Amino acid sequence: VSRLGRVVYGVGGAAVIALGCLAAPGCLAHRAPKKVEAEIESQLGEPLERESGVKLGWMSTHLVAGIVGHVESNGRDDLDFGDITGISVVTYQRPAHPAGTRSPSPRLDPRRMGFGDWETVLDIRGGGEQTLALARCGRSKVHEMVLLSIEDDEVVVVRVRGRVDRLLTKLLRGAGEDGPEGARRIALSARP
Amino acid sequence: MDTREPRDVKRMNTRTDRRMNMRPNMKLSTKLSTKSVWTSVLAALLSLGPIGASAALGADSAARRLPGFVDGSGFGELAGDEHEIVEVSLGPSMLGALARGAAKDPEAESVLSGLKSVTAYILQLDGDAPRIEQAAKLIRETAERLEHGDWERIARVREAKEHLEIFVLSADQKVQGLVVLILDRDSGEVVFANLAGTIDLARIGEISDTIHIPGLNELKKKGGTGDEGESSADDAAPSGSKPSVGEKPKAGAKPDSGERAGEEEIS
Repeated sequence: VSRLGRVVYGVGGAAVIALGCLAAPGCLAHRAPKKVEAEIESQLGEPLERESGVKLGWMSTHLVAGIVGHVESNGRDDLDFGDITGISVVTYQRPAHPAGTRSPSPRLDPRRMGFGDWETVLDIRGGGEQTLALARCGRSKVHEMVLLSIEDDEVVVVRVRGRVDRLLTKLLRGAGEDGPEGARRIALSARP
Repeated sequence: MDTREPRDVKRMNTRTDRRMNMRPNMKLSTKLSTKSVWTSVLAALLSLGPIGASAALGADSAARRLPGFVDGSGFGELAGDEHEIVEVSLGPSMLGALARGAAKDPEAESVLSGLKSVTAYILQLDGDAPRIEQAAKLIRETAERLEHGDWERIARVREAKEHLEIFVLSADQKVQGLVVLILDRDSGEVVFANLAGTIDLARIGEISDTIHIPGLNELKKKGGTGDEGESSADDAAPSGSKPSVGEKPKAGAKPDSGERAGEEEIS
């Protein structure tokens, strides 16, 4: 088998495994904790319709990342999946607003969402959107982060586990260098 | 005739420039680099603790009890729905974890482990003159309160369009708090930053790769560990020493004559 053939077989095999994982029960049916969902709805004052939910463990995260070419960081703005041991993404659709109008600017208070010992490290607001970054420390490292992004038409909840301190560092650097735009750009890079 | 300086970062107002690590419309950065400005902002956030009443984003009660903590939440209230704002809040546990994560860089680890709180508010009030005036007033009031407290100003740049203040709180030959206040009227950028804990001004710039704070890099230069630059903050007080207020800036700290009508003071 030629080198090209091996690459094709490898990518194809990884794709099949990853798709199999994604199709497995629970993988696509993932949703954010009820309290978080309910609190977002309560604070936004509108019902949310879950659009999609994906939860990936270490293996499936790296398989998917490998397929989409993000196993190694492609740039300073990309999430380095090599640091990540698990990731879940839930997307909710917000109710449509009358033509020509925008949703009121969100201002979620994460302290009411039952995150307990989580620390809200970043709150980015503006342009009718809000992005929150909450992180939780283990004994030695920042090992878990939740990114909440409230946009005009959807709400995205991303939960990342692993060496999250590097992602946090990138977020802080993005905020320091480019303000809201930079931080939001990096936060959204965590969406696979 | 264009009298602006060739390196005037104010001109670098495009997104491309931003990605090149240039803050938009920051004329100050000819003297105080972008990073130094951010550092200053973070420092300012910390110093608002005794001033403001409302809680900062994630500042826990332990952080609030630190002498160098300043509540800057008043700056967070300046932004309207149409403005962009970034609030940063790192408490002792998060900073400790980041310090351990930066173990490959002993300097950064050492500096981070001394910090107990980092808070910052970075606002873009583009073109909103009334709010920019409110921000200017808040910065003036904050600076006055700090000055009347135990805080000492180590740097000030006041020009027609830009205003920067850096304060430190020192005790027992140690800097316990740092506040940076920045207003750029042209870009509408307002920064408040506050660091609390044990701060080594000579090495504070070492954490700029981990926590990018306006002004950090300039403080790094100031401590003599960085490369030489044209920033006037290079003349600021060294780590551990109690900075004196009102000392005359050293040569080169003054703005180019005829280009800036404001004042600069570097202690």
